[in-house]
Amino acid sequence: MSKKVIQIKNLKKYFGKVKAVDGISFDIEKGEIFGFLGPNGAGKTTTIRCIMNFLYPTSGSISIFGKDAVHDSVFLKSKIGYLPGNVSLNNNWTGKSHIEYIESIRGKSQSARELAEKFDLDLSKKFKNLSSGNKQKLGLVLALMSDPEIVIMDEPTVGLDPLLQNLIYEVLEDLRKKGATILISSHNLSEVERLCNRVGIIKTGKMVTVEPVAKLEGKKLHRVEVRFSDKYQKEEFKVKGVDTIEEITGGFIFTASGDLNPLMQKIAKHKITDIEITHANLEEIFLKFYAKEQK
Amino acid sequence: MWGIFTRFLKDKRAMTIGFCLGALGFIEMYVALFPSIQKQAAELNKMMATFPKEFMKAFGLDSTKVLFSSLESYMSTEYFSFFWPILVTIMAISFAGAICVGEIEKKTIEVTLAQPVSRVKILLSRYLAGALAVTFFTIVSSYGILILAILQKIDYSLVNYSTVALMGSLCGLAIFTIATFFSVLFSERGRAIIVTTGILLLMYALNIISGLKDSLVNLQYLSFFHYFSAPQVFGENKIVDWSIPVFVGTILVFLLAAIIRFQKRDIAV
Repeated sequence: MSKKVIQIKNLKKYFGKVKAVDGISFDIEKGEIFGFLGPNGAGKTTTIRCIMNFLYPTSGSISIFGKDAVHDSVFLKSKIGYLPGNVSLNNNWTGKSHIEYIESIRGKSQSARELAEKFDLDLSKKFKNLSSGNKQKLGLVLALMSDPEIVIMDEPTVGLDPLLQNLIYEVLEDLRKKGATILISSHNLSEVERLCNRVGIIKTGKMVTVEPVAKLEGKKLHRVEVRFSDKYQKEEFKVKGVDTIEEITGGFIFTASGDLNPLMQKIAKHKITDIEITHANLEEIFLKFYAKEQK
Repeated sequence: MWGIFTRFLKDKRAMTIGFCLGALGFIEMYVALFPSIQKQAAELNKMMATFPKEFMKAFGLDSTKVLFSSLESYMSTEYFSFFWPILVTIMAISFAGAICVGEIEKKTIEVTLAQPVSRVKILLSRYLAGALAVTFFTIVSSYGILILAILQKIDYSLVNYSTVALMGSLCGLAIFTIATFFSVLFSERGRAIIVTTGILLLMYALNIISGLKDSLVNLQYLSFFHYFSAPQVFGENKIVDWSIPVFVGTILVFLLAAIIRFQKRDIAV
């Protein structure tokens, strides 16, 4: 039996001439946390809304547990806990009213009150009277109260203080331990590094890459900081694999992908006073993928 | 489905009670004035007789008939021809807006859409709850007059109240269903309100225009206010020809269109 819980094949979603999502494909396996990275307007939220059947795909397919996300959406939603970006709930309802509303559809929840207690959330307050952090906590309670097998979260930690961010990370880790499959979209690269098994980077509606986080961090990009005591020219270091060259006092900072040898051979021709080679962090990897777009 | 239905009713409870109390306030004011108005009915009828025939016809009044001869005739002109249509239209548009377009604007619709319940059930649950509230308001408006008439010992004709409750409910539901369709058609509440209100104002205007000239008389058939002619329905206990099929047909066609649209549309907040 396939371990793939979510399978997206050549998904396209166009709004008139605007290609919000333009032929992306990726799978998410059971028990993994998949990070969906990209800037505003890249197509993350549109993809998530297609998975949730809020939007109908222009073409392509989304399969969850082997069932079609459009035709079997009612069944599939019973398996999914969803946290939207910037949680918007009914201003005049209390947290308790929201929980009762979801319970009236999904059935009595054993864990809703436990989750609220764990998050130190006052369920008697109206939504409009909650702080942004507590609004997010209520959104989390509603998403997780039915013990979902799949959790989909659209930028779950945006605008939250570090303590609450850590709490959400703990919740996600607990869910992973219980075998839940999790998709989170995020701008926050450090949280993706911390949490995710794999990451998909989306750019202007197209998937740039889908990689295990470790592979992306470790193999794809190096940061080489070097200082020389002799004369050097920037041009001589423009060799295969060097993506960016930043001038610093007495040397350069290179970001290089793939084989490092051509660059190292050039560096070796000079008198080196200091050199540091590190794996690029996800932020630098992210910037690399967007470098062309920014230019 | 039951949870969505009851939640919608609960959310609209205060507004429904407010509308009902407001309507009862108007009704009490008119009913309290009726005995003194009735005493001057002869003078009022004389004055009305001087008005142009077309003017009277335009507002559904028959110059050959005695006005304000009964409470029902008086209330059909004072309340059901003017205040009630305004109140029921505001109520219908407001409640229909909360079914879809209002939730899109407030960005709250995703909470319900993310639940394991079909879009058809979501729409029908809210529609039926809103329809119940609109019908309740019309029944309160109709039988409220009766109760106040009994309390103030004014003569009444019981059957007229049932007729106006039935026809008023159908008219109110037709307006509510059209408003529901535009609520699921658009993503901006303002547009839904403008289009629904525009259609009803057009119907109101067509009904008046149709009375001004014989050649325009057929325009009346395009107006709900022809089919719900309060002086006839409440004043004379008459059901206008084709009114029930027109209202029921409108309800069914626009409800089906709303279901299809809600089922097929993209919903992004």
